[in-house]
Amino acid sequence: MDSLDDYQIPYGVMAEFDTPADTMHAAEKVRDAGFERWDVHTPFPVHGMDEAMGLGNSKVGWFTFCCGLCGFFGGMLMIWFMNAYDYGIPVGGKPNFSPFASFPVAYEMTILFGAFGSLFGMLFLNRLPRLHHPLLKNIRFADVTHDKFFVVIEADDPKYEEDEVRALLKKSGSKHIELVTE
Amino acid sequence: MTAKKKASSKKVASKKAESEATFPSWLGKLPLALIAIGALLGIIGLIVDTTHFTHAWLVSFMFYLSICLGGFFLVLLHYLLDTHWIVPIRRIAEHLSCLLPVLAVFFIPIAIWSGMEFVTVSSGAEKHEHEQVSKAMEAGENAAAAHGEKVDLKGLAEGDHAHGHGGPRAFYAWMQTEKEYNKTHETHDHAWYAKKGYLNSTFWHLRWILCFVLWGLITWFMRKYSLAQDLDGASKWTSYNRKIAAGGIFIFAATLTIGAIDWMKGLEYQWFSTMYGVYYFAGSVWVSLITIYGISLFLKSYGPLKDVVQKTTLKDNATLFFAFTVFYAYIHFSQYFLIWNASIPEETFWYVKREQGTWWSVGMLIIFGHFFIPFLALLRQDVKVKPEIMITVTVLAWFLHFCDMSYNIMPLIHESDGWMRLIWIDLGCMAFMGGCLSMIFIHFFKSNPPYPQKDPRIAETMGVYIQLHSEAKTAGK
Repeated sequence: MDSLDDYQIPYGVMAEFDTPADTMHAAEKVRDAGFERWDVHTPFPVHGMDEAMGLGNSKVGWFTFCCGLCGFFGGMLMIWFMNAYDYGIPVGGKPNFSPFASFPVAYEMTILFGAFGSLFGMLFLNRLPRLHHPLLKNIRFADVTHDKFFVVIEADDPKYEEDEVRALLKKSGSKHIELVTE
Repeated sequence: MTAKKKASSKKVASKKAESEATFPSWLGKLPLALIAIGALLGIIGLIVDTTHFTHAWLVSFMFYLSICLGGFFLVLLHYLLDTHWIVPIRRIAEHLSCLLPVLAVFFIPIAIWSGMEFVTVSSGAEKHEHEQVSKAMEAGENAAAAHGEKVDLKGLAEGDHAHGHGGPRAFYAWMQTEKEYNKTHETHDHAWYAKKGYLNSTFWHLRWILCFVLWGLITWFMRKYSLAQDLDGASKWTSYNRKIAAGGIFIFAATLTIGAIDWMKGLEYQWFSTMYGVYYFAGSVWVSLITIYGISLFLKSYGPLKDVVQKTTLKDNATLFFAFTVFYAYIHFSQYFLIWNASIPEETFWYVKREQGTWWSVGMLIIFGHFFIPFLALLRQDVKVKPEIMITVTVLAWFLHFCDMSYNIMPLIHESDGWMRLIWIDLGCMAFMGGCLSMIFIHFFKSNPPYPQKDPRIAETMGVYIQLHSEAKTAGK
């Protein structure tokens, strides 16, 4: 009597689109409808999508900035400690520590730590790495790396109501809508 | 873009007379007022202190040359890299670059002064120069002694600074040495003698004429082809300009370096810095980018470029400005760092002079105002399109670039206080040249279409591609 589907937890509703423009306008509609937990998947970056989805500035910059700052002062501190405090090395009558001589190294440290901050900050914010995602078992979703565009509204969203979500996506011009389970 | 907006943008493009009417009325009077005030201050300055006036004129000339050369560079860059973001504001850069022949007129007084012996140095600066040379020599001797070498620095320094004191000297001091050498066929000025293959009057005059002729020709042709494209929209004009740009970028690099070395660095010809051309270039494009930003913001709010200049245009412009903030700091730091690290008196004297009195403060101002403040202010993406912040940055950038040019030129004749006391002469020159140039710029702008209307990339840069799709879609339903 019960089919297997009845025991599966819904992940969300997935809608397929053919062009970036259609996807963008669908995203605008979903944004205006006030959904929070949803995402757009495209084979390549689509300019203007951030705005269409109502996304603000990425927070990765703060990780980069803070780590870069740590790198800069860490570099200065390191050189001061090693060349002037712990084991002074006099070179050419110059002071043992000078911000000029230390600057190139501190600058490199800024870049290195800034890059670390960007990478790990991005991974942290995206909750990566993760081993599995419900969308990945969907056979149609594989086309997202080829020529198809997807808008997915998750079941966790407070406004989620399957029928309404389906209607909204259909109105946005999607030709294929299906439920994805966990 | 809605249909209504589109119609209004077309109207702006086709009926220039209407777009002019939207400008505020003070715009036409501002240049005249600047010229009048500048001329008055300049003439008084010329009577009060001729030496200061001539150097102030050079500061002002190098300042505006930066902006025009920066505009020239951006036009070249656009054609070389096929960048689409700059298309809406390319006309501004083209007009700026076409101001270079006007600057040739402003250069003529400098060419006349170049060899004349009238420059008197303020006693403070002279005294300091002496002190620095002996200080630098001491340091050099100590260093040499440490390495167990004996270097005859005294003879070298005396030769170099033979004209640093006693009697008037030429605007470009080496021209005086050259004159004496031509008479007597002997000189103690080794710094000049070693460089006389390059630093001789005939070649110097040839160089500035060549620079202005090349700049005038290239910028004029590039704008001519760009304007021709406004009429027929043929892509051949773009390919012509691409070909010019491919050769032009080399000419640009060479002539800009010549200009910076001949006119600014040549004031203190004893000095060495292989980064000087790049240093001037970095500052030029930096100030030019923010000037173009300011102008395009103004034109966006007053009509002509209202629908053409997009948020992304401004953002990309500010991003490149941000990049050049870092680039300038990198270049200027490298120049200082290499000289500091090598610690050779022939090089250090230039910075030692600039670490005295007020010049030290100006140097600090350049470090913080030219780099740290704009760098930290523009780190965030959203700030790059906030008009109130960007206008503040524009004013800051103009002020700092003026300080930068003064920092290069003025310590030669003033210890520090003299510069601050007579700064009204500098401002007079700035106002006069700025007034003349802005008057011609406004004339250029009003007598031509405000943006490249038929450029192959104009639609792309205005984001029309995606919007057309949607319009077709909604029309179909």
